[in-house]
Amino acid sequence: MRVLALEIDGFRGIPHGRFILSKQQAFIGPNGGGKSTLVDALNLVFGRQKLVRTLTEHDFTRSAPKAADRIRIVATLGGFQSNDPDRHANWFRHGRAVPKWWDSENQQAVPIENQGRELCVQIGFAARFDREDLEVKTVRYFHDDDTRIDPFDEDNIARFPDRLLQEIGYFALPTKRTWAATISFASDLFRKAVATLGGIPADAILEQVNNLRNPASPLEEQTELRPLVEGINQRLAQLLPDSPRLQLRVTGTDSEAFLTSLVPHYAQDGQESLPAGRHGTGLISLQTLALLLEIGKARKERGQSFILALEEPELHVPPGLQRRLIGDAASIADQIITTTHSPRVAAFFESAMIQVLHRTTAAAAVSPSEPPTPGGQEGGEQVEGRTLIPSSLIDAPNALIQLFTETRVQVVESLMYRRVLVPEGRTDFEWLRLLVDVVETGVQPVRQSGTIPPFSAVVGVVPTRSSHVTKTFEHLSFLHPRVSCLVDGDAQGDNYVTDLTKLDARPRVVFQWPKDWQMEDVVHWVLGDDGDVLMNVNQRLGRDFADPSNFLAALREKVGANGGLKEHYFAHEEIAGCLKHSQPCVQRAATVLEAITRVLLEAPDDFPHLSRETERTGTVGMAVFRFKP
Amino acid sequence: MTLILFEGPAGSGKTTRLVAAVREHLQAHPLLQDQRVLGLTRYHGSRRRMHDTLRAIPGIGSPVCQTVDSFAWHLVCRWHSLATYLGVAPSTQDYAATVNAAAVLLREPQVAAWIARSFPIVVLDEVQDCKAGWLALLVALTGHLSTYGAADAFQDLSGDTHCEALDWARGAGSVEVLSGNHRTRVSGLLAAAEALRNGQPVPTTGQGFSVQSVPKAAVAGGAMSWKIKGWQSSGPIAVITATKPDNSPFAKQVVDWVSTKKAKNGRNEQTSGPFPVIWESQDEDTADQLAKGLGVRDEPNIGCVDLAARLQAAGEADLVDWVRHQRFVLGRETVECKLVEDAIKDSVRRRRAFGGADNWRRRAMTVHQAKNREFESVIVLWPLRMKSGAESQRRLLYNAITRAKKQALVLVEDPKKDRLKKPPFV
Repeated sequence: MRVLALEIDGFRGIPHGRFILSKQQAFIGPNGGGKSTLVDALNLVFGRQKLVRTLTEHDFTRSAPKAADRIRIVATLGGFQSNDPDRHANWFRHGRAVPKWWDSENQQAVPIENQGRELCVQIGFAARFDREDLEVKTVRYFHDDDTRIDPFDEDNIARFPDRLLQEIGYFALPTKRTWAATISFASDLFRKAVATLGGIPADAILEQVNNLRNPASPLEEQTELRPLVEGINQRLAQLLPDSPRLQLRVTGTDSEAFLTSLVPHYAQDGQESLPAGRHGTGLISLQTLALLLEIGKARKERGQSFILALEEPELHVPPGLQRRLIGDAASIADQIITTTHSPRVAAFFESAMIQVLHRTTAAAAVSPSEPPTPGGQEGGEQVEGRTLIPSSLIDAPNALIQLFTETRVQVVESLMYRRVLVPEGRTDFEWLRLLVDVVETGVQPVRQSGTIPPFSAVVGVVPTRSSHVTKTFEHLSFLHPRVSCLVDGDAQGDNYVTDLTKLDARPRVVFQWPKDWQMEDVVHWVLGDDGDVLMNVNQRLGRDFADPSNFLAALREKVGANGGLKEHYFAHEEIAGCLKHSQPCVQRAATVLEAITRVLLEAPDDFPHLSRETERTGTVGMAVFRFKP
Repeated sequence: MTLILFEGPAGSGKTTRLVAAVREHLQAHPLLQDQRVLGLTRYHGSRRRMHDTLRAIPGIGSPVCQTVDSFAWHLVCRWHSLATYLGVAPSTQDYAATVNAAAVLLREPQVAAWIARSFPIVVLDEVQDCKAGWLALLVALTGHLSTYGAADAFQDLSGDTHCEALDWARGAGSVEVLSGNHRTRVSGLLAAAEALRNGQPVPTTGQGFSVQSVPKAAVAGGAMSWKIKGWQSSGPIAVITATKPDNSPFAKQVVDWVSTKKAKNGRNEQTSGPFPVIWESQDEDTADQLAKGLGVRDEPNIGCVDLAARLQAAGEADLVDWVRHQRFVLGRETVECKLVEDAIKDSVRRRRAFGGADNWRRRAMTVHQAKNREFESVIVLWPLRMKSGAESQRRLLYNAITRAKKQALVLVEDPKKDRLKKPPFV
């Protein structure tokens, strides 16, 4: 089985949300965007409440639920073995579910069967806050009709039986994975796994319990303890009729005590066995996943459904292993649903299966250039998952499609920042990356002034292809609310600015280099006129630039017989390496980055290296800033 | 799919045959896990009887007994999306539209299959009272479930000459006609009932049966009082009037008389009575009184806290819960009084439908209220002013006297002393 769609209303930060899920689904987005709310919603519908904190007022959107307010979550579940409801009589009958059919064109569940539509069922979970008991009451039910919204007001509600949850086989890997006792009888999950796969070895356990009751050398009979024990026994004999005698035993000597006292240990090659809690976070964290995958494997072998939700699978796991884990999970599960901060994990999924959680307020539909209302969690707010490859890209040039497919790791990474920057091309992308490196690892790291955070914490840069600035901006702004552009100071750059003003949804700010400057000029400015640095460059590159202007000329020229360095990325790295060793260079690099950051955060604040282009800010809602060296 | 209706007069053993048929079916086709037997009746009064009857059948598990209205409503609720798509989704409280919608839905194969998966058998009662929309619903159901039912055309009090349901059943399945009266072996009652059915003169005296002509209410009261004195050791006595008490001063006067006065025997000093006889309230009256008493007719809206206090004082626990639901689940601090009145009506109806057993001594009720029930003794009050025609009167009288197991007395308001020579007695 698999989840086809999920609707969330009034739950935490999602006043209204509707999500369509594929067989392999990844959700990305900045923190606080709603990713864990989404997974918690799944956990509530499919019966994994233990993974969710007990519901209180704070789980209702706006935290102050009135009697009539509701949390409502509806999951549409498909993937039944047969499309004939008769074959699934335990689901579809009087008192249980009403059959529905998935209309994939309009992406909704409808009551009419048609060729090509698969059988599906809608399961609802609702919660209300009772102002008399001060408790949150919940109900899980079969959802029939969108117009009948309140299951608490219905006499005719068909409750969802827990037995069927078993059949769905939904499991989740939570973010909190530091519990060392996952593989032990203190864990319900482990008990469930044991019950499914072979059961408890009762005889062996009873034998152990027996041994614990009658140890070979009881502690109370050892010379050191005997006087004390006998003394206690004698006193007790005087005070109580039955002369109780003290014995010291491991555990409470019954099977339950024995089982819960078992602590998982791991022995690594050539080392002594250590309790799980003493091993590294990687092992502790991966235990849970290993257990879940074993449960999944067993279910698959029996032809049972297995759906796995993974929250941040990259936690505690080295980069190389992250994709391997997803791969393992995907091969076992009928469906995997992942939330992640790792571009690598996201890249495992095809672009059509990556969604960014996007929030729109009702105001946004009216005038896209207006800033959204501050603290805007008003009723009209809508959260949806927007696919990395929107269908609007169907007629786009190849290069643009390649941006979202071949370089999707970098694109996904850029979308995780607060601001996204679209430069003119790959060279700019690479140089910016190098400048960040210079500032962060260069000599005497710069102390940032004031409250402006560093570029690398705020700005994600896109590896724009073939100068498709406008189109790239357009498509990315569908996915991220704050996308801006960085253009050259030449005529082509001015053209881009003009193109951008013609869009319905313009960028709020655009950053432009000084007149006729390109990225290479910026590098030249950062280099400055310190002879030592230039000498260093000459040495590293095996060249002999007499002064910085020669250097600039070479940078501008394409790679070829004339010794051009334009796209010579290896050389660029060497140059950056030289810049790092010079404090003034590092400072200038920091200045450039701060300028860009300030513009993107819309906090120019009299920064001396910025000038606002007043003659172009007649354009409503878009401001152009130039760097001032 | 099997369709068998058992047709016959009151007390001819339809229920027994029905039960036997169902039991045979279950032996041949035992219920699978999660399957149950569905029992449908037209009115609430007989729903509980059906439930008790069905439950006693071996292999039946726990049957689901509902009125057709209730069944239709539940079906339409669960299939609301499809009903909307088909354009038949009714608004609440419109029973006829709900039943129609249910019939339309049941013609969709997936809906019928959905019902049939849980209910391989449906047992029907009072089929003669299923007309129009209700009958359409039964027809739709019967295509997919085995149906066993009981009917008696003569007990249809609506005035129709043809019984739609029986006509349909004869065509679509089979109708087994039963005869003979099993409810009572008392020859006087039997003879009178049969005479009424066949349109023949009704014998005015016989074993366990007599018809008396009285000039006025006081005389009737006296006669009734003596009869009650003699009969009350037998069990519950039902006083059945042919018309609603509001339409007939005769009935009210007689009941008042018996409840308050003593009858005297002129010759010796013996007296009889008074015997209080309580009217089984019409739902509308109870609801009406309650509404007035709570003062919900005075304004358009009422505060919940205030209303809850009044209901608590009146001892209406059911309605106190309803108010609590309005406040704490729906978040309303005031409610429209119209809604309160609807809730009162529902509560009264529910109480009667699911209320306690018949363990009282003397009650007065209309023929409709007496439908499908039986009592040890019956006293029929036959007032002067009656709207119905000859045939309907025959059926009314038939229905009234066939409620009796042991004995019945008919008191006819007859100031001119000529009614016993006219229909329905002749």
